[in-house]
Amino acid sequence: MTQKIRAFLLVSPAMILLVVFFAALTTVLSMSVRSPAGDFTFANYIRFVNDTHFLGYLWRSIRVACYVTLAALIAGYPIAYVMSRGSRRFASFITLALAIQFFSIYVIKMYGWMLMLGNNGVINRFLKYIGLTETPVRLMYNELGVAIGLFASALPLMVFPISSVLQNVSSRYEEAANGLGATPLQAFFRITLPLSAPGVVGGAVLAYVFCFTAYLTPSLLGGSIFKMIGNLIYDQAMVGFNYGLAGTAAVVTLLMSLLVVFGINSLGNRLLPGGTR
Amino acid sequence: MSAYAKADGARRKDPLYPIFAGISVIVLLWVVAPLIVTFFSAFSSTTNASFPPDGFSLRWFRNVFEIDEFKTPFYRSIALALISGICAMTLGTLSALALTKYRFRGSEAIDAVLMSPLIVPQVIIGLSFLIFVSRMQFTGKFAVLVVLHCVLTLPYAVRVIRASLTRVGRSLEEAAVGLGASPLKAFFLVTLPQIKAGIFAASFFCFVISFDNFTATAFLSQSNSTLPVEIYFYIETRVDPTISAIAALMMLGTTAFVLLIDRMVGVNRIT
Repeated sequence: MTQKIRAFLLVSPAMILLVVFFAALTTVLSMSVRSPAGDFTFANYIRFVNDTHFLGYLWRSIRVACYVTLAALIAGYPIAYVMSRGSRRFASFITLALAIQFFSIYVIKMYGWMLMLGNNGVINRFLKYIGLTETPVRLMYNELGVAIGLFASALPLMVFPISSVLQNVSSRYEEAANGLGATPLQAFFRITLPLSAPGVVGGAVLAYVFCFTAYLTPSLLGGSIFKMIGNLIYDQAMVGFNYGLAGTAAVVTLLMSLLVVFGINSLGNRLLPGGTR
Repeated sequence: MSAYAKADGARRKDPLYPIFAGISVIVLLWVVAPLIVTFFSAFSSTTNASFPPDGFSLRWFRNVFEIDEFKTPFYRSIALALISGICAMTLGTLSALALTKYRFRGSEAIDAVLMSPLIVPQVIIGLSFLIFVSRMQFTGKFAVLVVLHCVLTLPYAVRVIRASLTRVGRSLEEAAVGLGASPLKAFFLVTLPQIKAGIFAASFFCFVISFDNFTATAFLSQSNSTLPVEIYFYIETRVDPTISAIAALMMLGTTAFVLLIDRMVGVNRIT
């Protein structure tokens, strides 16, 4: 019993802080079901689901998050594989390069992409230099620019969980499969990939939710052309001062994110041996 | 680390490995390219932030220190990261101790609550703090940013410290108590020195998470803009090598941070 009291005393300062956090979250919920006069109403939600303009934000966010997550998985899995199976020097070089990219200031990464993708940016200059195009190709202030920016930020979120799982998957399983006559591709798809599934699921959830709720990337690389649900929340709150509608969009976004986090995890726990941890 | 050594023998027979290594290098070059471009564009001698840079000069670095626009936000970001980092580290260490030292019913629920800021998207955390403080009539206070950043960094502090406490184990501390040390003395003289690296890593981690944070902070820093928010408003309207110079300096900081963490605890421990 005293153990329990001591433990609660130790966590209580952190709990007080998190009570503030939950109180703040609750105000969003209560704002979203309140009319400007202060009565209880679902008007904001009804307006949200009936307005194709608002649903457009949601649809764009889901679409981009889905294919960026898939791209990050395809491009990220080999990196995770090399990080856990490569020679020590090469693996730690790759890990450090990715970690430096990951920990670089987010705003600055996006500024870097503006320098890359702009009309007078590195890529357009290069295309012009090799004579492929005369007029600049539009790589920014559209869906493509947002997807490119999100991909770069989502990649480490995908790679690190996979590599930490792969590090605990002995390569002896693959050797055994090879010894029993499997081709390397068969061994990869039937042994390595399934054994690393918890990492893949974990990374995919992180990458998806990050992209789905992104604000900075679409606002810098999408401009006013391609806005996502995060922009809707920010604009409604900071430009329109419509806390009710911002709150509604936030509650919808939160529910859809939590659905993915818990839905995928419980699905994973049921389907995967050992669960997703 | 032993996994690397074990894999060494297998790698030679693995035909997928060279393909994957090739893909890795190409993908990494792609995602690191904007950082390299940004770094070198800072040395441009014209107002053009481009790559390859036009000419060579250090005038944009001088500009960073001469213009006042970024000075206050920079100091504010540093102060914010330090204060919120110290708070989060204190609360985080206490919570990590509770979760590793004691077994009690409800510890899983407490763990989930401690980690909850990680699963709530940043835009929503930002919006909820905005609405909350405006209803509490507390708008525009620096303290609000401190509380927000504590919430954002606390899960990382708990996670890193908890991991190093678990690794260290409890036997030495129990021995100290058995030999007559008070629990407090045993903690400060026996446990704390053992988790020193974890504490350092967690502190740096909290500092970077706070210093880097844009999305949640943007909702609250209209009058108290932090460095990332100030940079955002600057590049929204214009692009010139001043930002490249700031970026280059911060990249040096990030690189030093990552290498230091790697030396102390291994970078794969905290990612």
